[in-house]
Amino acid sequence: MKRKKLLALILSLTMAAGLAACGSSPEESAPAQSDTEAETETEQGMEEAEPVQASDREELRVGTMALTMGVPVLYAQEKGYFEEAGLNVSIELFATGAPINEAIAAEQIDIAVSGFASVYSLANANCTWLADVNTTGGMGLFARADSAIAQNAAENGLIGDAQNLKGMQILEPLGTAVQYMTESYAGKYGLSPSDINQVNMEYGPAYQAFTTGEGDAVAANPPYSYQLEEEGYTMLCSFEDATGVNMCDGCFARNEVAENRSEEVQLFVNCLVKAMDELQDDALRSEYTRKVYDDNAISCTDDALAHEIEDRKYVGSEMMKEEGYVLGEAWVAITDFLVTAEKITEDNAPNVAASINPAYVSEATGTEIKAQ
Amino acid sequence: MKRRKETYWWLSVLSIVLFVAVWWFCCDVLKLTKSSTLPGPITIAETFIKKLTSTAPDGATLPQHIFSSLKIALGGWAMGILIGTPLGIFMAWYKKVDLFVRPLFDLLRPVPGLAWIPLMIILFGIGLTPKIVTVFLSAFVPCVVNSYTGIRQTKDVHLWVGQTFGASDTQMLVHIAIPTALPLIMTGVRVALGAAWTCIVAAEMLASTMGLGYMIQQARGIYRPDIIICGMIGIGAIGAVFSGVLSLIENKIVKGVRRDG
Amino acid sequence: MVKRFHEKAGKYQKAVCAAISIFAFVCIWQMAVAFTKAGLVLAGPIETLGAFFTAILHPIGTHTIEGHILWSLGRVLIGFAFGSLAGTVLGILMGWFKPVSALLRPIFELLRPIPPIAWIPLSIVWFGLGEMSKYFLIFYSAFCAVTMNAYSGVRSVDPELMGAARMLGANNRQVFTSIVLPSCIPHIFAGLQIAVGTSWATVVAAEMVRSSEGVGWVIIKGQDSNSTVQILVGIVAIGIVGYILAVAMRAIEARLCRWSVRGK
Repeated sequence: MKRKKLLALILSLTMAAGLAACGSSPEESAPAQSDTEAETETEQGMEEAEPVQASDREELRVGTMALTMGVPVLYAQEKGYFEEAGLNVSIELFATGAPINEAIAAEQIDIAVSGFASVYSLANANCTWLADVNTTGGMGLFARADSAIAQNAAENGLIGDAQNLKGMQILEPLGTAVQYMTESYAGKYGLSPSDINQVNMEYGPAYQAFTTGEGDAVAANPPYSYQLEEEGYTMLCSFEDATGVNMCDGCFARNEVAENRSEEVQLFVNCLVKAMDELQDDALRSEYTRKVYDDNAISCTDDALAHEIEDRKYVGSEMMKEEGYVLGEAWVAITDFLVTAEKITEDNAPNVAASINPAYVSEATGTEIKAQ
Repeated sequence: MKRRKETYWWLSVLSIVLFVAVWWFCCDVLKLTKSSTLPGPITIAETFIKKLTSTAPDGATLPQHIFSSLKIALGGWAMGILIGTPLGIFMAWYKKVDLFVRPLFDLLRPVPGLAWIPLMIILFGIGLTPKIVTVFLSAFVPCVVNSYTGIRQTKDVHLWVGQTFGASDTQMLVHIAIPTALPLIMTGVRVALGAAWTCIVAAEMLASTMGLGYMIQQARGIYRPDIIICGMIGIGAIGAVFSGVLSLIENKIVKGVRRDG
Repeated sequence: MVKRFHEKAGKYQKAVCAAISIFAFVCIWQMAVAFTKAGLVLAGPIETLGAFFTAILHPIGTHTIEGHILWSLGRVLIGFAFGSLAGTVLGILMGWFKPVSALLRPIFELLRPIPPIAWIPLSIVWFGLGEMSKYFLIFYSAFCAVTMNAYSGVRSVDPELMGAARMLGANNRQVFTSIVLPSCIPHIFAGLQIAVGTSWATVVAAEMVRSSEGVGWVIIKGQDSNSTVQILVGIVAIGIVGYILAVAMRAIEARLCRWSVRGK
């Protein structure tokens, strides 16, 4: 009995403590009050945006991924280029593009270096596209070598025929670049998206499912596409051949930041271009990319890395100065596609083209650069 | 006590109304958050009505999503009860079962559904089965834990009485231990339905073209917070209905436990 | 006289049985990898354990596996502690006071089924990218499990006991402290056990927010780069730590509420 009493006493004490805690922070009593919480949190967020740093400049928060597009930022940070330019840059690494968009919308980061998912931030009318970072080669649609569709001869880089393609089960993450690729590919044979059966899976699981005998085709990006190639699967099309556009990963900022802190944004773009120019050296790039991958536990064979360096070029100042280079070239075609696929509303579509601003890269390279 | 039972329903209604009102006030009146991060209830209602018939942007209407998710969740839940509850009972009642099964159960239990996905694809392909099994794995745990704890609550005195009257081991299990455990088993069944329903987002990460979880994942990918919140409310409302229905059933089935307040 | 539930199994017997069942499991796994097409995409137990032990000395990313475990454990324990505390309090309040239940239960029931993964976007808005949003997700999953059990614990107190106490002149407070609280403790502990499991399982979702360390992160990165060995190393770490947590929970329960285990 004594033990029970004691325990009851402890429990009541805990309850009292809990109640007191509830009084001070409503979030613990019930998630129901989370609205008020949201309010205090955003207020805090705003305070953070005010200058608090003792160092010369307030923090410039950059969100990116530990992939090809993130390497130049991490490189510039490690070499101290940002510091030299007087910037106070902090880098947040994300796993995919979706949380980057969420963090941009929640004003948790100021600048993002991201991939295809960027288009959804651009469509929301509150971001500015600053610079292309790297080309995105290496994406492709793969089928088994002994399947009927793989027996066709290659024509303009495409392998396939309408009859076999119809009703094929294709594994791919929907709402990303590869959906655009697959549907453009089907379009080349006069088929509409409803004629093929697209099943939504992330790249990794899609690869695993396909190699264990599921599905008729799989849309892959590096490193999976390299592995599929090595394992003898047939590539039906590449992204570039199917869509006719060269897509680039790149860098964008919140409008608020681009307007109020344009000087810092310019310095950031300058450093980024400098880093990309230095990373044109394949040996240096290979060494540094390897380090980034190791730090982030991304396993990658030497072959795959070499392959990636060959496929995905950094858009350095030389490339930007070339005749015919257009900043954010692919976005307009991609936006058109996403409108027909109903992923972006028609009202938002013009925002994408309007968000592309070549002023920063023009300044960084000292030449006039066109935008789409 | 019974007399006052009717007087509180308005409080429940009030709390929901208050919740929506605060939300509306913060988002639409005070504009504390931008509509691109947390849309107000009016936007959500509009999206909800639009989604009832429109397939944009994820290729299926809301009722189709809901139906698809229900199939998966209920399938996995039923499997969880059918396998989990007897296992929990046997583990608690028969020492040998406990000794052999429990270490494995404890070791595998904390592994989240998300982590099982690669294995599911290998074992069950990409159809409906792997999703149901993923749901099963999370529905199964509360069934086992609660029925185990329930049986363990049986008082030795009650068993001695049974023995005195010459009850066999099985009779004691069926007539003494299981009725004692029933309230906890039912709680387990209810928690399991919650767990199963909660698991659909993870399960639908696995090769889907439809379902509420799929809808939320897609909306995250293309940044449509209004659809995400629509999906969350959908999951919440259906979960609440489930739990209400199960409470009713529970009250009917569980003998010997009167529930007054 | 049979005392079914507290005959002590010999320590050796327990350990031997556990070893046998785990060994059998590992054998089946090894055979599946060696003889079926599972081997194409799944690493075997030997390879996995090898990688696990290598990770003790050689870091995955910037931390060794112990480092990752400690990071995750810290997040889980903070979220779990607050979640179970708040859940116990709310559950008991809702069970004992009808108006509280009427007021909060609908909202609780509405929010409870929403999975942690679905909260990620909102938690970024509310709590930013730091540790807070991870604590929130874990808090949330522990909170739900404990609240449910504490609530049903109070509601299933034997009314005859309460009636008897009242007849003997106990007031409401006395009934609450000496009957309701002690008798709902087994329920609360069942809830805590589930909550330890779910909050530890939520670590994967929590570390999806943004992180550069933790067991969930190891698994996420493994999925990103298609390394099943790394995924399995993460799973093994989650399994072992989860097991230790469950055993610890049970030991605490056995110590604190002996009466409920032994009968009276």
